[in-house]
Amino acid sequence: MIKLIKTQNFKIIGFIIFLFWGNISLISGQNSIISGIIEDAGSGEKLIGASIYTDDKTSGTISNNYGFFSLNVPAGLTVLHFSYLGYKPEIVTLHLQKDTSLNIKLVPSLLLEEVTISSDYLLKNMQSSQTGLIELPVKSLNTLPYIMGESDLLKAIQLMPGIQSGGEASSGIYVRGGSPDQNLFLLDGVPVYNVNHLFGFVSVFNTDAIRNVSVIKGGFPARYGGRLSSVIDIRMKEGNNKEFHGEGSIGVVASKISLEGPIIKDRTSFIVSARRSYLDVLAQPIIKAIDDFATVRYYLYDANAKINHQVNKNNRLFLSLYLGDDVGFYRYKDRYIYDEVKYTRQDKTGIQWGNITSALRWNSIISNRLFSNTTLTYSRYRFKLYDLDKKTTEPSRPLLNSRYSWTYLSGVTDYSIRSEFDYTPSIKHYIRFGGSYTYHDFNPGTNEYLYQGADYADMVDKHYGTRSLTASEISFYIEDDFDVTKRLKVNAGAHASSFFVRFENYFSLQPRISARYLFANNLSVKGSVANMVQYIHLLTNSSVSLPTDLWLPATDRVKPENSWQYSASVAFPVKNKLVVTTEGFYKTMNNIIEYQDGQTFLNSNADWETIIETGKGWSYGLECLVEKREGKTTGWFGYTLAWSNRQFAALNNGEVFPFKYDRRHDISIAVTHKLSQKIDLGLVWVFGSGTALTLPTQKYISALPLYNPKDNSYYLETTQNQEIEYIKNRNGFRMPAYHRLDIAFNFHKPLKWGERTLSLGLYNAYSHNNPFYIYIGNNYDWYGMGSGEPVVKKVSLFPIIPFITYNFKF
Amino acid sequence: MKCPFKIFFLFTGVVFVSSCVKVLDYDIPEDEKKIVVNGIISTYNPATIYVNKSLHVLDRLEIKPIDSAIVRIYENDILVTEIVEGTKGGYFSDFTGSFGNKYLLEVMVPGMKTASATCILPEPVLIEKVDTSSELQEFFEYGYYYQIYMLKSIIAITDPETIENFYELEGTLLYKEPVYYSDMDTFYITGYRKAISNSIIRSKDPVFEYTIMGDQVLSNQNENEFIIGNKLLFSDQLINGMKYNLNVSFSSFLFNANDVTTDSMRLVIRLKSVTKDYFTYMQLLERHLQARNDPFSERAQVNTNIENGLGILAGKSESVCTLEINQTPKPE
Repeated sequence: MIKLIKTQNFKIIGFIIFLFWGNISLISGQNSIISGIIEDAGSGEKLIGASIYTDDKTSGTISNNYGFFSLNVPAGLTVLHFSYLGYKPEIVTLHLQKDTSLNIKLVPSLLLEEVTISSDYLLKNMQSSQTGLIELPVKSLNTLPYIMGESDLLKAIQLMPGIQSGGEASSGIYVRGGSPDQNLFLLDGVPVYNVNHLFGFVSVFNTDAIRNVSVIKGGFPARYGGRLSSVIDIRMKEGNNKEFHGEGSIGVVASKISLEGPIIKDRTSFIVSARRSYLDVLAQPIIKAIDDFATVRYYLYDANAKINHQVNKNNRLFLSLYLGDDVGFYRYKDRYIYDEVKYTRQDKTGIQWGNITSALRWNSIISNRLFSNTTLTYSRYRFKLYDLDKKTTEPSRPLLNSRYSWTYLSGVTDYSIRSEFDYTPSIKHYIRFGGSYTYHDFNPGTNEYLYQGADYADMVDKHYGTRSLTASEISFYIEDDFDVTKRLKVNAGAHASSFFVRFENYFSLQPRISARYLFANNLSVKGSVANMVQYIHLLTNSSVSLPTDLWLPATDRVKPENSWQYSASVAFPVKNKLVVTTEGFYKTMNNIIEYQDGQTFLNSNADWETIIETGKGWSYGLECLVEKREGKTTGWFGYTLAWSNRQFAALNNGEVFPFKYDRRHDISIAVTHKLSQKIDLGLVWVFGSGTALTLPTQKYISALPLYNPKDNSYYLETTQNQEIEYIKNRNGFRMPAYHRLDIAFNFHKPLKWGERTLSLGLYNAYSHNNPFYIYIGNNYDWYGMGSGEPVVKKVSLFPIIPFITYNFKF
Repeated sequence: MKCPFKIFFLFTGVVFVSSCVKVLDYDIPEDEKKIVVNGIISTYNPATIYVNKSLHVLDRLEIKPIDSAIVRIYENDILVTEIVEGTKGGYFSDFTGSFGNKYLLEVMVPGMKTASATCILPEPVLIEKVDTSSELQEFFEYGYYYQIYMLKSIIAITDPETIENFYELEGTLLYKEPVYYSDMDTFYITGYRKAISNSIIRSKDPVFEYTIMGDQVLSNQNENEFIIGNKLLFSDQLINGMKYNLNVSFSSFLFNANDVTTDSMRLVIRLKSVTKDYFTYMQLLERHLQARNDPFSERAQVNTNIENGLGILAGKSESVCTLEINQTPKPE
């Protein structure tokens, strides 16, 4: 049975098609096409989002994710401006008679001059019809301070308005009241399911391998689909195709190295980067000294690799790979001799999770007007939890030999093919269209028990849960970025998708439209409406980013999530140095899921569909972002005022309750300042009003009276004779406000073989005890001293933490 | 299961090492106190009600029972009993319910709103047959070796198809315990007296896995993990309308005691049909208590069927099968 999601969407699509075809007729034969690739002159890296504009700025475009651009301009004398943040702008004068190919090499700007921002960033911001888009300044990522000096992409993203972290030092991100599963993380176009290392303290993205990051919070173009709240599009470096280079760092948590260079100069290049933590190695002697029988280890690693090959002038191939794991275990081995029998017991409990993503991509410039990108991808996320226990005797005492194992597995594997096309039919239109097919193989959580007792004879082998649940997802999209008038630009399109699971087929047609109106050259007003559908749920009951969260498909019993988001923004420059963007949004979310009260993935062997509740959510707010992207001092100030609520029929007695991460005020300031050629400073200050918190208001005794016929009396059932805490409202309280200052000094020094940077800094510089969680406890200190009365207690994680990192480049 | 508590050892370790705990000056508002009523109306025992009053969560006082309440029970809207004085919060009647009837409980405490609750007693489901055999389990844990004798039992039932059923299974041992006399350093048995003891129930039967209590039986690692309440709760979610054999093992320290099991021990197996409210209450209560150990989990809100109050009114009926055990179960 096919289920249509929001059939009224067809009417909206009809309107969009009317607009689209009404304007496509304006294709003119008196124009010429200029197309080509924009790249870094030094490394050959393609530049994503570089601006190309005519002299009068009436016509322009930006390069796509592969550096390709195609611009339709009137024939005759044309002056084109090519610019990209951090590079010297290039001006090219052409006398166009016919379609022309033009590859541009931009030279990095070595001196951070106070260039007027009208050159690139402001222009892009003003001209684009896209709302809710943030392009992260990747180059400044390593300059900002991070906990323990480990530069982290997601922690930088959390500093943007409308995006907040899950908790102290967590990499989880919550965008405009959405949950973490509603963010689509694309690493070179491949979805990454679990983006956390070290229980969320570190993200899986190695900043040394990243070339470009775009974050879309609203006004989603039709080419994106599958998640409700955001798209984080991360593009890896392609590798220097001219010279061999490397960089790396040695930090407190982990060390990393990245190497890149040509395999065939100007034609084939590679980049390899790897990272591993080593706390386990350092801690092992201490653990052994405490308990000779025990071994405790925890480490993380990840690696990125990419090869790109220029087949010919118009065709390129890319092969990229990411793999990463977190591995932790506790092992105990005990030997004991009793009555001349040697007893051995081995116990191992462990946890492991990680992703693999890979992509084979083919770029082709089919004509000056048409660019194609075809990608084959494989992605796998796997989580494993296990407990093994083995008892043996020597000489053998059969009744005492036994073996027990428990394994919990969950994960998801995707195989996908995707084709995308960029088409420039006329001076006013930039059309993108494409389609994809994804085969999902979910393991929604299985418990496997094996017990062999009494000399391994009495065997119990049980398996609970669904090992494999497959689904097919097909999607198509078309969008047109077109200039309706000189001042009005519209991006209209639709994303159609179908999800086939367990004989159920969901179909959705998601209209997307955004528009920009230029009131003056420096005042841009934008608005957008986007409908998103998400066929994959994340089931979580924890406030920290644990890998135990389950990825699950929509099924015949659990419907896909869907949302509508409406946003409007105003952008303008201040004194040609700052760009101010203010954006308001309203978002509704349906069919979102939560565990039933008190359920977790572990305490039930029931099918996951029977232990969840389905409900709805909505959020709204206002965001303000002030950015300065060039000059000695760069950075941004972000402020968010927002509300986010949830409602589930079976939770909180069916009443509306605040989302756990409902935070009214959120402020972030990130600044980097170049003190001299050798020293720069990074500074981050964040403030967030308290997130929602569940606390009891009263307590009472739960004991049931049992009748005792012996003496016609009753007694209280002792196992339940415990205090119950009465919770009036879920998330009815607020945590104290969170604020923190981080600071880092980076000392650069050129060396014979390259350059080194020594980073010294402080996380939580004024050592504010920020709340990690709050609970009701008794007033005792570590030594058991105190009045013992019930009190509210606050647990804080990190006081002031100094860090040092040694970075090098060659 | 022990794994759920062990798996977070790394994370907890990180938190423990780096965390700092402080008492927070936090305002939790004073809400109106509520009457707390925990009661059981059953077909097999006189109705018992326990009444206390909730306290502010940060109150230093102990929760005290209320003896000044008036408790009324109505059967199909007719008043059948009124109890005006409690003993340590307990209110007893000589009234026993009948299945299929609707009961209304009213509890009035001076100065507080009247609390009330209703339930309909479910029909008992017959224990059709019990087959037993004995088994021996041996354990070696942390340097200690011990053996446990158990009575493996297959309990045949037929679950009614048209209604949702919720069950509670328990076993009680009736036996004669020795009466001792001792002089300076010797004990003498001078006689026997009647005694009662709850049996521990273990099972690997998947029917129990749909409850928190049922979940506990899957591990064989620790004796204590089997004995929560000495009873297993389960629903008919997996066996609705089916004839089904419940596989359980009863054990007791009495099976290993040489001095008490020589004379006519009886195992009373009780299959109780319970109300849905009570079943949900027990589940949520368990999850609520478990979540105390996990600050990152959302604490379960324990349900109540008491209007203007808190607690639970449970309705139960039972089907009983008594087995004569003339000697300690021994391996065959």
